[in-house]
Amino acid sequence: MSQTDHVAEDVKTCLKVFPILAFLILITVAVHQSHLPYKFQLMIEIIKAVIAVGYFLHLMANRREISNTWILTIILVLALLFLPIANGLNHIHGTTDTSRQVQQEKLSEHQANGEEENVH
Amino acid sequence: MSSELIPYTIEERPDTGLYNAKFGIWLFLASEVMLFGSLISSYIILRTGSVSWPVGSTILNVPMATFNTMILISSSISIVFAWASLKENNLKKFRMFMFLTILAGVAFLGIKGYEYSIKFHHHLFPSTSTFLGIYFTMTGAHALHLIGGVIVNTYMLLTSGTKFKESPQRFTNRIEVAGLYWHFVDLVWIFLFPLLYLS
Repeated sequence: MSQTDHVAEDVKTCLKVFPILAFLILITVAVHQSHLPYKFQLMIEIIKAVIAVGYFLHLMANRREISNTWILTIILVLALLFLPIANGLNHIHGTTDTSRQVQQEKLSEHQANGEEENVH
Repeated sequence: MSSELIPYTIEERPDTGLYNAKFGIWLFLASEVMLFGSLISSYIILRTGSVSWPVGSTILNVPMATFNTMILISSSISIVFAWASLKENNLKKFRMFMFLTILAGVAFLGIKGYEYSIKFHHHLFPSTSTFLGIYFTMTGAHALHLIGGVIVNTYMLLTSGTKFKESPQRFTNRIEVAGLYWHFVDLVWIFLFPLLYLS
Protein backbone atom coordinates (compact mmCIF):
# COMPACT_ATOMS: atom_id res chain seq x y z
CA MET A 1 0.00 0.00 0.00
CA SER A 2 1.46 3.41 -0.97
CA GLN A 3 1.73 6.25 1.52
CA THR A 4 -1.13 8.18 -0.14
CA ASP A 5 -3.35 5.11 0.07
CA HIS A 6 -2.38 4.67 3.71
CA VAL A 7 -3.34 8.29 4.54
CA ALA A 8 -6.62 7.96 2.62
CA GLU A 9 -7.36 4.73 4.50
CA ASP A 10 -6.68 6.42 7.86
CA VAL A 11 -8.93 9.38 7.01
CA LYS A 12 -11.66 7.00 5.84
CA THR A 13 -11.47 4.99 9.08
CA CYS A 14 -11.61 8.16 11.17
CA LEU A 15 -14.64 9.37 9.18
CA LYS A 16 -16.37 6.07 9.96
CA VAL A 17 -15.43 5.70 13.64
CA PHE A 18 -16.12 9.16 15.06
CA PRO A 19 -19.55 9.74 13.46
CA ILE A 20 -20.58 6.25 14.68
CA LEU A 21 -19.41 7.15 18.20
CA ALA A 22 -21.30 10.47 18.00
CA PHE A 23 -24.43 8.62 16.86
CA LEU A 24 -24.10 6.07 19.68
CA ILE A 25 -23.75 8.88 22.22
CA LEU A 26 -26.98 10.43 20.96
CA ILE A 27 -28.65 7.00 21.23
CA THR A 28 -27.36 6.63 24.81
CA VAL A 29 -28.81 10.04 25.75
CA ALA A 30 -32.12 9.11 24.06
CA VAL A 31 -32.26 5.77 25.95
CA HIS A 32 -31.56 7.60 29.21
CA GLN A 33 -34.15 10.33 28.58
CA SER A 34 -36.85 7.82 27.61
CA HIS A 35 -36.22 5.87 30.85
CA LEU A 36 -35.60 2.59 29.03
CA PRO A 37 -33.96 -0.23 31.03
CA TYR A 38 -30.37 0.42 32.01
CA LYS A 39 -29.18 -2.70 30.16
CA PHE A 40 -29.75 -0.94 26.79
CA GLN A 41 -27.41 1.83 27.87
CA LEU A 42 -24.87 -0.75 29.01
CA MET A 43 -25.08 -2.57 25.67
CA ILE A 44 -24.37 0.68 23.79
CA GLU A 45 -21.43 1.37 26.10
CA ILE A 46 -19.97 -2.06 25.30
CA ILE A 47 -20.35 -1.40 21.55
CA LYS A 48 -18.66 2.00 22.02
CA ALA A 49 -15.80 0.41 23.97
CA VAL A 50 -15.29 -2.22 21.25
CA ILE A 51 -15.21 0.50 18.55
CA ALA A 52 -12.75 2.62 20.58
CA VAL A 53 -10.45 -0.36 21.23
CA GLY A 54 -10.70 -1.39 17.56
CA TYR A 55 -9.78 2.11 16.43
CA PHE A 56 -6.75 2.23 18.71
CA LEU A 57 -5.63 -1.22 17.51
CA HIS A 58 -5.93 0.08 13.94
CA LEU A 59 -3.77 3.10 14.85
CA MET A 60 -1.17 0.83 16.45
CA ALA A 61 -0.73 -0.80 13.03
CA ASN A 62 -0.05 -4.22 14.55
CA ARG A 63 3.18 -3.24 16.30
CA ARG A 64 3.79 -6.06 18.72
CA GLU A 65 5.60 -3.95 21.36
CA ILE A 66 2.75 -1.45 21.64
CA SER A 67 0.03 -4.08 21.51
CA ASN A 68 1.73 -6.09 24.27
CA THR A 69 2.23 -2.99 26.43
CA TRP A 70 -1.40 -1.99 26.02
CA ILE A 71 -2.74 -5.50 26.63
CA LEU A 72 -0.67 -5.68 29.83
CA THR A 73 -1.86 -2.22 30.85
CA ILE A 74 -5.51 -3.07 30.28
CA ILE A 75 -5.14 -6.35 32.22
CA LEU A 76 -3.58 -4.40 35.11
CA VAL A 77 -6.29 -1.74 34.97
CA LEU A 78 -9.00 -4.38 35.02
CA ALA A 79 -7.27 -6.10 37.94
CA LEU A 80 -6.99 -2.78 39.76
CA LEU A 81 -10.60 -2.07 38.90
CA PHE A 82 -12.18 -5.34 39.95
CA LEU A 83 -10.04 -6.46 42.88
CA PRO A 84 -10.89 -3.40 45.00
CA ILE A 85 -14.53 -3.64 43.94
CA ALA A 86 -14.70 -7.28 45.02
CA ASN A 87 -12.91 -6.36 48.21
CA GLY A 88 -15.19 -3.36 48.71
CA LEU A 89 -18.32 -5.45 48.30
CA ASN A 90 -17.04 -7.96 50.85
CA HIS A 91 -16.27 -5.08 53.14
CA ILE A 92 -19.81 -3.78 52.82
CA HIS A 93 -21.21 -7.26 53.49
CA GLY A 94 -18.84 -7.60 56.40
CA THR A 95 -19.95 -4.29 57.86
CA THR A 96 -23.58 -5.27 57.55
CA ASP A 97 -22.93 -8.64 59.15
CA THR A 98 -20.94 -7.02 61.94
CA SER A 99 -23.61 -4.43 62.62
CA ARG A 100 -26.24 -7.18 62.67
CA GLN A 101 -24.05 -9.17 65.02
CA VAL A 102 -23.57 -6.13 67.29
CA GLN A 103 -27.31 -5.48 67.29
CA GLN A 104 -27.98 -9.12 68.10
CA GLU A 105 -25.43 -9.06 70.92
CA LYS A 106 -26.95 -5.86 72.36
CA LEU A 107 -30.41 -7.34 72.14
CA SER A 108 -29.43 -10.56 73.91
CA GLU A 109 -27.50 -8.53 76.53
CA HIS A 110 -30.58 -6.39 77.07
CA GLN A 111 -32.76 -9.48 77.37
CA ALA A 112 -30.33 -11.07 79.82
CA ASN A 113 -30.31 -7.89 81.93
CA GLY A 114 -34.11 -7.84 81.88
CA GLU A 115 -34.26 -11.44 83.04
CA GLU A 116 -31.75 -10.70 85.83
CA GLU A 117 -33.87 -7.72 86.97
CA ASN A 118 -36.94 -9.94 87.00
CA VAL A 119 -35.12 -12.50 89.13
CA HIS A 120 -34.06 -9.80 91.63
CA MET B 1 21.92 21.21 19.29
CA SER B 2 21.24 20.08 15.76
CA SER B 3 18.37 17.73 15.05
CA GLU B 4 20.77 15.14 13.58
CA LEU B 5 21.92 14.32 17.12
CA ILE B 6 18.48 13.02 18.06
CA PRO B 7 18.06 9.61 16.47
CA TYR B 8 14.92 8.12 14.93
CA THR B 9 12.82 11.29 14.73
CA ILE B 10 11.93 10.47 11.14
CA GLU B 11 13.10 6.97 10.30
CA GLU B 12 11.82 3.94 12.17
CA ARG B 13 13.89 2.19 14.81
CA PRO B 14 14.77 -1.29 13.61
CA ASP B 15 13.81 -2.92 16.93
CA THR B 16 10.43 -1.23 17.48
CA GLY B 17 9.53 -0.52 13.86
CA LEU B 18 8.41 2.98 14.88
CA TYR B 19 9.99 6.41 15.20
CA ASN B 20 10.81 7.26 18.82
CA ALA B 21 8.10 9.88 19.41
CA LYS B 22 5.37 7.47 18.32
CA PHE B 23 6.65 4.69 20.55
CA GLY B 24 6.93 7.20 23.40
CA ILE B 25 3.39 8.51 23.01
CA TRP B 26 1.97 4.96 23.06
CA LEU B 27 3.78 4.26 26.33
CA PHE B 28 2.62 7.60 27.72
CA LEU B 29 -0.98 6.84 26.72
CA ALA B 30 -0.71 3.44 28.43
CA SER B 31 0.18 5.28 31.64
CA GLU B 32 -2.79 7.57 31.07
CA VAL B 33 -5.03 4.50 30.86
CA MET B 34 -3.79 3.65 34.36
CA LEU B 35 -4.59 7.15 35.61
CA PHE B 36 -8.12 7.31 34.27
CA GLY B 37 -8.63 3.61 35.09
CA SER B 38 -7.85 4.35 38.73
CA LEU B 39 -10.26 7.30 38.72
CA ILE B 40 -13.02 5.15 37.23
CA SER B 41 -12.19 2.45 39.79
CA SER B 42 -12.52 5.04 42.59
CA TYR B 43 -15.87 6.14 41.16
CA ILE B 44 -17.18 2.54 41.14
CA ILE B 45 -15.95 1.83 44.67
CA LEU B 46 -17.47 5.05 46.00
CA ARG B 47 -20.73 4.36 44.23
CA THR B 48 -21.07 0.71 45.29
CA GLY B 49 -20.13 1.63 48.85
CA SER B 50 -22.56 4.50 49.17
CA VAL B 51 -26.04 4.18 50.70
CA SER B 52 -27.59 6.55 48.16
CA TRP B 53 -26.21 7.90 44.88
CA PRO B 54 -27.84 10.61 42.78
CA VAL B 55 -28.67 10.16 39.08
CA GLY B 56 -26.18 12.45 37.33
CA SER B 57 -28.79 14.00 35.06
CA THR B 58 -30.70 15.38 38.07
CA ILE B 59 -27.71 17.53 39.05
CA LEU B 60 -25.77 17.96 35.79
CA ASN B 61 -26.75 19.54 32.49
CA VAL B 62 -27.08 16.67 29.98
CA PRO B 63 -27.93 18.70 26.80
CA MET B 64 -24.94 20.99 27.37
CA ALA B 65 -22.61 18.02 27.93
CA THR B 66 -24.00 16.23 24.83
CA PHE B 67 -23.26 19.33 22.75
CA ASN B 68 -19.78 19.47 24.28
CA THR B 69 -19.19 15.80 23.38
CA MET B 70 -20.12 16.50 19.76
CA ILE B 71 -17.64 19.40 19.69
CA LEU B 72 -14.85 17.15 20.97
CA ILE B 73 -15.65 14.39 18.47
CA SER B 74 -15.55 16.95 15.62
CA SER B 75 -12.12 18.08 16.82
CA SER B 76 -10.82 14.49 16.57
CA ILE B 77 -11.88 14.43 12.93
CA SER B 78 -10.34 17.84 12.20
CA ILE B 79 -6.96 16.85 13.67
CA VAL B 80 -6.84 13.81 11.36
CA PHE B 81 -7.54 16.16 8.43
CA ALA B 82 -4.74 18.46 9.66
CA TRP B 83 -2.30 15.52 9.63
CA ALA B 84 -3.54 14.36 6.21
CA SER B 85 -3.02 17.91 4.86
CA LEU B 86 0.63 17.78 5.92
CA LYS B 87 1.02 14.45 4.14
CA GLU B 88 -0.21 16.28 1.02
CA ASN B 89 2.32 19.08 1.71
CA ASN B 90 -0.54 21.55 2.09
CA LEU B 91 0.46 23.81 4.97
CA LYS B 92 -2.44 26.25 4.45
CA LYS B 93 -5.01 23.48 4.82
CA PHE B 94 -3.14 22.14 7.85
CA ARG B 95 -3.33 25.55 9.54
CA MET B 96 -7.07 25.77 8.90
CA PHE B 97 -7.80 22.31 10.34
CA MET B 98 -5.44 22.77 13.27
CA PHE B 99 -7.09 26.11 14.05
CA LEU B 100 -10.50 24.38 14.00
CA THR B 101 -9.17 21.68 16.38
CA ILE B 102 -7.87 24.30 18.82
CA LEU B 103 -11.10 26.27 18.52
CA ALA B 104 -13.11 23.13 19.36
CA GLY B 105 -10.86 22.41 22.34
CA VAL B 106 -11.24 25.97 23.65
CA ALA B 107 -15.03 25.83 23.07
CA PHE B 108 -15.21 22.58 25.06
CA LEU B 109 -13.23 24.13 27.92
CA GLY B 110 -15.38 27.28 27.78
CA ILE B 111 -18.61 25.28 28.06
CA LYS B 112 -17.11 23.14 30.84
CA GLY B 113 -16.09 26.31 32.68
CA TYR B 114 -19.61 27.68 32.29
CA GLU B 115 -21.01 24.39 33.65
CA TYR B 116 -18.65 24.64 36.64
CA SER B 117 -19.65 28.27 37.26
CA ILE B 118 -23.37 27.30 37.32
CA LYS B 119 -22.57 24.60 39.89
CA PHE B 120 -20.59 27.03 42.06
CA HIS B 121 -23.36 29.61 41.72
CA HIS B 122 -25.79 27.04 43.15
CA HIS B 123 -23.32 26.32 45.97
CA LEU B 124 -22.46 22.90 44.58
CA PHE B 125 -18.79 22.34 45.35
CA PRO B 126 -16.55 19.23 45.37
CA SER B 127 -17.00 19.14 49.14
CA THR B 128 -20.81 19.16 48.88
CA SER B 129 -21.19 15.42 48.21
CA THR B 130 -19.18 12.34 47.22
CA PHE B 131 -20.79 12.41 43.78
CA LEU B 132 -19.75 16.02 43.17
CA GLY B 133 -16.31 15.29 44.60
CA ILE B 134 -15.62 12.52 42.08
CA TYR B 135 -17.37 14.50 39.29
CA PHE B 136 -15.09 17.51 39.74
CA THR B 137 -12.01 15.29 40.11
CA MET B 138 -12.66 13.28 36.94
CA THR B 139 -13.82 16.15 34.73
CA GLY B 140 -11.09 18.40 36.16
CA ALA B 141 -8.37 15.83 35.34
CA HIS B 142 -9.82 15.52 31.85
CA ALA B 143 -9.97 19.30 31.41
CA LEU B 144 -6.30 19.59 32.47
CA HIS B 145 -5.38 17.04 29.79
CA LEU B 146 -7.36 19.03 27.26
CA ILE B 147 -5.60 22.26 28.26
CA GLY B 148 -2.26 20.47 27.72
CA GLY B 149 -3.42 19.34 24.28
CA VAL B 150 -4.59 22.85 23.32
CA ILE B 151 -1.20 24.31 24.38
CA VAL B 152 0.71 21.73 22.31
CA ASN B 153 -1.55 22.19 19.27
CA THR B 154 -1.26 25.98 19.50
CA TYR B 155 2.53 25.71 19.65
CA MET B 156 2.46 23.43 16.59
CA LEU B 157 0.23 25.87 14.72
CA LEU B 158 2.33 28.92 15.57
CA THR B 159 5.65 27.28 14.68
CA SER B 160 4.34 25.32 11.70
CA GLY B 161 5.90 27.69 9.12
CA THR B 162 9.49 27.30 10.29
CA LYS B 163 9.27 23.71 11.54
CA PHE B 164 7.65 22.41 8.37
CA LYS B 165 10.30 24.12 6.22
CA GLU B 166 13.10 22.71 8.40
CA SER B 167 11.92 19.11 8.21
CA PRO B 168 8.47 18.35 6.75
CA GLN B 169 8.54 14.66 7.71
CA ARG B 170 9.55 15.32 11.32
CA PHE B 171 6.86 17.97 11.70
CA THR B 172 4.24 15.63 10.20
CA ASN B 173 5.30 12.96 12.71
CA ARG B 174 4.89 15.46 15.55
CA ILE B 175 1.35 16.23 14.42
CA GLU B 176 0.59 12.50 14.20
CA VAL B 177 1.74 12.09 17.81
CA ALA B 178 -0.26 15.15 18.95
CA GLY B 179 -3.26 13.66 17.12
CA LEU B 180 -2.93 10.34 18.98
CA TYR B 181 -2.97 12.20 22.29
CA TRP B 182 -5.98 14.23 21.18
CA HIS B 183 -7.86 11.05 20.18
CA PHE B 184 -7.15 9.57 23.59
CA VAL B 185 -8.45 12.64 25.44
CA ASP B 186 -11.56 12.57 23.24
CA LEU B 187 -12.19 8.85 23.86
CA VAL B 188 -11.77 9.31 27.62
CA TRP B 189 -14.54 11.93 27.54
CA ILE B 190 -16.78 9.62 25.48
CA PHE B 191 -16.73 7.22 28.46
CA LEU B 192 -16.76 9.82 31.25
CA PHE B 193 -19.88 11.46 29.85
CA PRO B 194 -22.31 8.51 30.26
CA LEU B 195 -20.64 7.42 33.51
CA LEU B 196 -21.14 10.78 35.23
CA TYR B 197 -24.13 12.29 33.45
CA LEU B 198 -26.35 9.36 32.50
CA SER B 199 -25.90 6.60 35.06
